[in-house]
Amino acid sequence: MNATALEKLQAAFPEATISTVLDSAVIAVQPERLIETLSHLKNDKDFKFSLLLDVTAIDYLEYPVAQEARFALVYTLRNWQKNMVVQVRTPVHDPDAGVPTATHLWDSANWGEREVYDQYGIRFIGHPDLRRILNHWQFKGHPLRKDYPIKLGQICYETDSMEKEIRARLALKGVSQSTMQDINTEIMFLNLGPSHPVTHGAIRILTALDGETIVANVNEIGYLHRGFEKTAENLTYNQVIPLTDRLNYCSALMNNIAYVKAVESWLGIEITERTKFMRVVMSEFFRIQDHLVCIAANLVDMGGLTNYWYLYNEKEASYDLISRLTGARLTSSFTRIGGMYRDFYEGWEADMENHIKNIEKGVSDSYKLVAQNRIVHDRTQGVCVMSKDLALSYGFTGPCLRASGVPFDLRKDAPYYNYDAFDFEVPVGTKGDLYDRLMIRYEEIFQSIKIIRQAMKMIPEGPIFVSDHRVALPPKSQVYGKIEGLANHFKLIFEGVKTPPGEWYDSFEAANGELGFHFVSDGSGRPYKVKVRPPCFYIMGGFHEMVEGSMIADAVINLGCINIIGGELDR
Amino acid sequence: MSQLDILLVLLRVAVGAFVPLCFIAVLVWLERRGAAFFQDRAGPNRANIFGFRAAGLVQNAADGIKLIFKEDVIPGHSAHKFYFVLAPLIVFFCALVSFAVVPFADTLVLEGKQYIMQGIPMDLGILWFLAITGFAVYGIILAGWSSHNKYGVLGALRASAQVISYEIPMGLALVSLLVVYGTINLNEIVHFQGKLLFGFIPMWGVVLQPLAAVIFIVSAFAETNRTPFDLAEGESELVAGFHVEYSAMKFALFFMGEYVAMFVSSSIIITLFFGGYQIPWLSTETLVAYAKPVSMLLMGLVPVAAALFCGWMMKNNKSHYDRPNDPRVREAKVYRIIIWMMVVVVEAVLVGYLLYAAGGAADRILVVLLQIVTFLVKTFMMCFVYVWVRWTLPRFRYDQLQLLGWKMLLPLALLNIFITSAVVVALS
Repeated sequence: MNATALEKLQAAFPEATISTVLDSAVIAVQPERLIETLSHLKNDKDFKFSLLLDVTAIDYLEYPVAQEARFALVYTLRNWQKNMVVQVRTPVHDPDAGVPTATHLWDSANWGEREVYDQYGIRFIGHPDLRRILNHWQFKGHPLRKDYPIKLGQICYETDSMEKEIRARLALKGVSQSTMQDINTEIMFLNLGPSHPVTHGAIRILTALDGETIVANVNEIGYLHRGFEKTAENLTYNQVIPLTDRLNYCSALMNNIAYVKAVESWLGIEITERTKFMRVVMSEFFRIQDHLVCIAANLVDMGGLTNYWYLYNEKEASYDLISRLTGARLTSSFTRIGGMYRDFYEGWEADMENHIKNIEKGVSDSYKLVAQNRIVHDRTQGVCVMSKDLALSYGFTGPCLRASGVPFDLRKDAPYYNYDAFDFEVPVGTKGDLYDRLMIRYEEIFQSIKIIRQAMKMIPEGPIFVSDHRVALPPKSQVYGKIEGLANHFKLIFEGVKTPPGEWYDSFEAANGELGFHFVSDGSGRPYKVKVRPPCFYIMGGFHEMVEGSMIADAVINLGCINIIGGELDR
Repeated sequence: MSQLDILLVLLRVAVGAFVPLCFIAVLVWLERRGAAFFQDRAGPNRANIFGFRAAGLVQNAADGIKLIFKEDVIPGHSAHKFYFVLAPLIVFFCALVSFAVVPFADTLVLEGKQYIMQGIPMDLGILWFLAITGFAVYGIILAGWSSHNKYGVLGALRASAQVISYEIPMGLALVSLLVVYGTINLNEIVHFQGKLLFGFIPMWGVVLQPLAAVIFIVSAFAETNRTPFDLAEGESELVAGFHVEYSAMKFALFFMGEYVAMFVSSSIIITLFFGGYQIPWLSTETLVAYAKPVSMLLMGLVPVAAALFCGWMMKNNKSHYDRPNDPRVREAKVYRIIIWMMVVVVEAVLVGYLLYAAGGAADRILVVLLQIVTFLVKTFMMCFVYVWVRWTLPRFRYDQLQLLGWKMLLPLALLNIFITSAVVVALS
């Protein structure tokens, strides 16, 4: 964030304390002024923070430095045109009394605040649907509070009928009670999932049907919730990396990179050039993998199984390179804070070129089957449309936002890792329908291939790890030969990479959209708090807007098209 | 009734019932291997009996055995268990019986008596097919309804709506066809197609009525509930649709019923539009008249075809990695021996025919056999088209399917009737 923007912010909020952390500005306000501040930030023509990226809270119970209140609430906003990130913080004195909700400003606040309520027990006054989201409805306590006993096992097995929610949604849609009961217009409730061929994991999509048309829809997530954030609080920074594999498991390495990038940016470590290029090559390669899975699964949902093989065979073949490089097919855990686990193996260029050539062929074959296919056009064009404003309001990012016509891509707008040096284009859709979302992914595959080819030409020789003793393990000769080396090794392994105390947010353009990490550090080697901003969590939050009014078959392909990955959705 | 009569009745019933049943195995194999071919993979090729895999056909036996020994679950929540059991029977039975009117060879004339070469000798022809396939949808509706499952009901609803809407364009496409042929008897229709247009084009239905052919084929695809019209079971949407609650052999009956239906509708398409059992340019009379040269030609062609096939098989049927004493090569060698033994038998029969039986009844029997083979080959090719389409196209949405049926096919079929009638009236 540049100085003029900061001045403008200070001028607009004279009472608030404004500081800058990395690239974002942090505005601290009192709860009474929270909504006023947020609404000013959203609506003022100077600011126009149209994206609410994330809502989270922090429990300072065990924090070494005393704070104003035990809980603090953080709203992360983004202005996509000028690429400004602002975090609005407010202390929460009484979580049970709560703070006013921001759901009327951004629709994404709905799920974001629900998550905060679920994990921290902070109430939101005026929230339309304040109930648990990731944890089971019978769950007792709020797991991300520091005083939650993590060894306490809770067995919850009763399903939530969600009848109240779907009836509320129906009422909102103007379906009266008498319509629902009249035998001629009776509404049928149908659960798609949690275990259904289309969910590609476990999500529950409860629909109210009129014939085959979906009148109302509510969704239940959290079936794959495994407490990533709580687990991470008890591990050192480097130990968290294997957990990030399991976020978006279709592009595991991208999560690794996004995570270490966030930590490195706070440490102020400038990684080596070769590492940067390695990360670009690998993240674009995994972007391709992710899109291949998404398109393939999407076309299977549409009934075109052959496409699946054209795309998936190539993805499967790519695992040869991935497993040769990282030692694992799916859970790569390939990055470390300060560099990479290993350098490329000898002859990787030929392998990579071979794979991307095959991928190009497979994708072109599949594209030929789809591009001129009338059935595909009828199924996708003008279906499940998400308008630009609504997409922004629901916090869409990545391909789904670009499909709605917002040309926002962090690789272009906030370039990291020399992305500004590459020649590539960001495909943008016009209508925000299924067709746009599908075709954008096709095009992004070709663009990623382009970036990989350029990066392969430009990648320099050199070390893949920084020589900073704060993060890099000393060479073995020193570990075994010198006491300083041994002590350094021991401390790095047992205590972890020490980060200076503070809080920061850093984001990365993952395959699905903006993957953000909000960290709180207390100066130790373990994160005091990690909050992931998973792109598909907010996209799923807008799912009902896309499918209401369309048919079951549309909802099915829409779910595939927005690329819901249970691992990062439920964490 | 002479012994010959009884023998021929048995033969007809055998062909009418067992050919569709045997084709289940062939079609399941074709579907799976065909899909694999389109999708750049191998398909089922591991199941074997003593190392003999029969190109993957053994997999069917394995699947069949598995289905027989699976637990046969009847959902406890279903209030209509009788209909639940009845439904797959209806589907399978209707599919099988609808083949009964399709002539698989020309009428055999032996000792002055005529023997119609179809399962049930009757004159209903195409009407029988329409009636029986229309009835088959009751099986699907009953299955969905008696399962007491929402997916099942949705699948059944989709199936019934689809079949009803597509029967109309199908029937109307037939009307224009019948105007041309002037008969509903399928054997006469095939006879008609044995003639030549302008002296060199076979007068096949697809030449005379291309539009009707397209409409009929599309409708036939819809009637058999196959992609792009497989909405009734659309696995990504309705899990398995109407047969979601079925297991073991009751599921297998649906499954086999689908393949029988596919075989029957292929055979109907062949009969109506692609000359049925007719070999192009060679009508029954021509074949009977030139039986001797035809058999000599066969004597020459059969070994050539066998040699080509064996060469191809020996080249491809081997392991893709080094194996000592490769069992696949051994397998192929055994197949080669079997094929050449079959060739020897065929040659011996043909030689015997030429030496002792040429002229008279044997000519006609030879022609019937040839026509049965032609019929099966053509049907097989049409089935391949079914498989091809299934693995190429995605699925329609429910409303788009109805739009296609009512707003595209129906007006086209009506237009076709007007044009056809006008042309027929003008010409006559």
